[in-house]
Amino acid sequence: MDKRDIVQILAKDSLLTEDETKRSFEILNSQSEESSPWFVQLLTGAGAWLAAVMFAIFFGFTGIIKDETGAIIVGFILVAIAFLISVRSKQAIPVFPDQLLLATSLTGHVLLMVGFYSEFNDQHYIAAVVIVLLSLCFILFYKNQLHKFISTWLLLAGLWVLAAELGIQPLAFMALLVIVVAALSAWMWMNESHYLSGRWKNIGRPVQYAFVFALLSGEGIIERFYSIFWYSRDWNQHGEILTSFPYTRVVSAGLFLVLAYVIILIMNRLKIDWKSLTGAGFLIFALIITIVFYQSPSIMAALIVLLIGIERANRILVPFAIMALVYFYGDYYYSIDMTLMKKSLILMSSGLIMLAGGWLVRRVGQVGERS
Amino acid sequence: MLSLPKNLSVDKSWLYRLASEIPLDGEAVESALCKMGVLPDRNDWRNWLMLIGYGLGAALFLTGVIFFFAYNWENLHRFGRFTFVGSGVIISALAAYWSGLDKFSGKLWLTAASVLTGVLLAIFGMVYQTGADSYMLFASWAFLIFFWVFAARFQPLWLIWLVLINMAFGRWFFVISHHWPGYGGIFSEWIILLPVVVNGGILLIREKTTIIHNSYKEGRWFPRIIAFCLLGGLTLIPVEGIFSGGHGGVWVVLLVMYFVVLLAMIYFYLNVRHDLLMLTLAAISIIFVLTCGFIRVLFEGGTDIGGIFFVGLFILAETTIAARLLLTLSRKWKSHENTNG
Repeated sequence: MDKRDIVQILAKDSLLTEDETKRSFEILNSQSEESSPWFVQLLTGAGAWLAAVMFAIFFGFTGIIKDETGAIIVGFILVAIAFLISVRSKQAIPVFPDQLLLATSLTGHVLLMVGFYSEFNDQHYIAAVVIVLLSLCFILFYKNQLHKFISTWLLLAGLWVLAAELGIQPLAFMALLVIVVAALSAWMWMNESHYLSGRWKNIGRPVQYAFVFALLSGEGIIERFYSIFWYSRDWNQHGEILTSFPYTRVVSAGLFLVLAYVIILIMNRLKIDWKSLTGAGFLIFALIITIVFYQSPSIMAALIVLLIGIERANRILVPFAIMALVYFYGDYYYSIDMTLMKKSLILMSSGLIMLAGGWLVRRVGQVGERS
Repeated sequence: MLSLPKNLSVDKSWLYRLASEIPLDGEAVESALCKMGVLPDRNDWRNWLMLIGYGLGAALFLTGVIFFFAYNWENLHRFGRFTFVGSGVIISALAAYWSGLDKFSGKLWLTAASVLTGVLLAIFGMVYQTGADSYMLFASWAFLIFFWVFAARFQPLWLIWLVLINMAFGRWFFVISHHWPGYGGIFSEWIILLPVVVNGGILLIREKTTIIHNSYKEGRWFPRIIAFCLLGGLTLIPVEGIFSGGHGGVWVVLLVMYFVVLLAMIYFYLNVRHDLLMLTLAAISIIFVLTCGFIRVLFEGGTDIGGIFFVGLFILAETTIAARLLLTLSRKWKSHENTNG
């Protein structure tokens, strides 16, 4: 079935008006602008980043920026130039100026962050507020998709830093952020088709990917390093803060709800009643996974992304989630306090259970086909 | 029967473009995705769950076996150790035979047998303390499993075999090179000469024949990994020449090989088999070399640190030109596909 057949079927099902059908054929016949492959975007993004670093070094070493105030002023000018040109441009910006603007903006961001952080040494929340507001503006109005992705990640990081600076228990806020980001990721991805057009069309995609990236990277980082930036100033605080909030239990509970939500949506689409034996079986399995891995919510996060990736047939999410799952699982077993003997028995048992599970799914399928 | 899910390979980028430009509502897009076979149906989900179950299950089980073995190593008699791992090799090989090498499960079993062969060799070396160098382990391992690798026509197993070959050569060179007069250290260009020939040869075989895989439609990740490592290693040759002047002998040979490989890749993936990622790798290599050349020219002329601004601009210009060319190519190929149906 080719593209034209699909369009005709949609028209026949009254999902497309006559005008929309005609326009669809015109677009299919023309050589329209399309988004570039991910590796070309990676190339341009890497080039922009490298150039931004070079520009920042240039500003730093040539004495144009003499102090923090200079960094803030220059940073603001660069960001403003990039933002205004992008927002005011009515047509798509050609590749070279677009990359130049991206590098200019990123350089400005770096200078602003460094400038505000240094200038307000005892009030770092000001730097966080600036980053949060700046990121919001860029997500909503700036045209470059890669920049929206970076800005979304910066927004989340900025929110967490802001909360910590305002005295909110950092682990509690991080737990809330992880659960909210997981929920938003699941909601946006499972309803992906509704974010491809209208006012969401330029925001949906980069934000969706940024949420997934932030979820997995944030989880990985928090479980490993726990805020290198903020708590390196006072290591004595670590023990108290780490034990004062049940982070892993709270996040695991929250991620279980998100996982259950994703499973229920998938079952709804496949017309499997979640109250039936099969449906309940899947939800119970999700609960078992949560209980077994409650000490490592990153495994749950990777599993959620994997299910979303499979359901939406996304070629970036699936391998990314598999790599994350393998890494987090390996890290979990590496770090738990157990003898090698016990670890080996647990791994062999869980391996056999997974193999049995795969076999069971196959048998159920074969029985279903025969009936 | 277990089969690899196909819904991931369906191209849906044209639908997303329509959704954005018309615009289409969410219901129409979802309906189209269903009809295109993008959204997995119950069979697809069953295949995915089986793949995850078998794949993860096998990985967990094997890891558990390795940990068990590591824990009990000291207490096991040497024949116990050989029996334990040797049984694994035999069972995996038999399971591969019963499953059949045309099936994914059969290929997985043969991969397990190949990996366990190396474990067996390692145990042999540890038990008998022959004093053999580590390159002999990798070389023997690669030699013993070669027939299985050839028979399986399974890209992951070929990748494991290639890694073994490269490690064997690397270790061999490290050990014997101290005995060569005029030896230039482990970073001498000799270290990459044979791997370049072997890896380049495997890449050529992969692209021109079906010896390594079942059909030309199988995943492209394997040749891309080889091309990345091949071109990545060779790119250091002209860079070395730029910053340290280079020297005759092997370096010249390798420099010629760099240009040959680069031009061959560009020609092949531009005209014979369209692969934009491969051309992007070639572009990255060229950008890297040109940038190093620019830095050398700029700073050798006595430019101060301010010249770094121009380096940034140069990088931007290069990546922009490369991206533009690649995008133009991509559109041209897509348009050609649309015309031919």
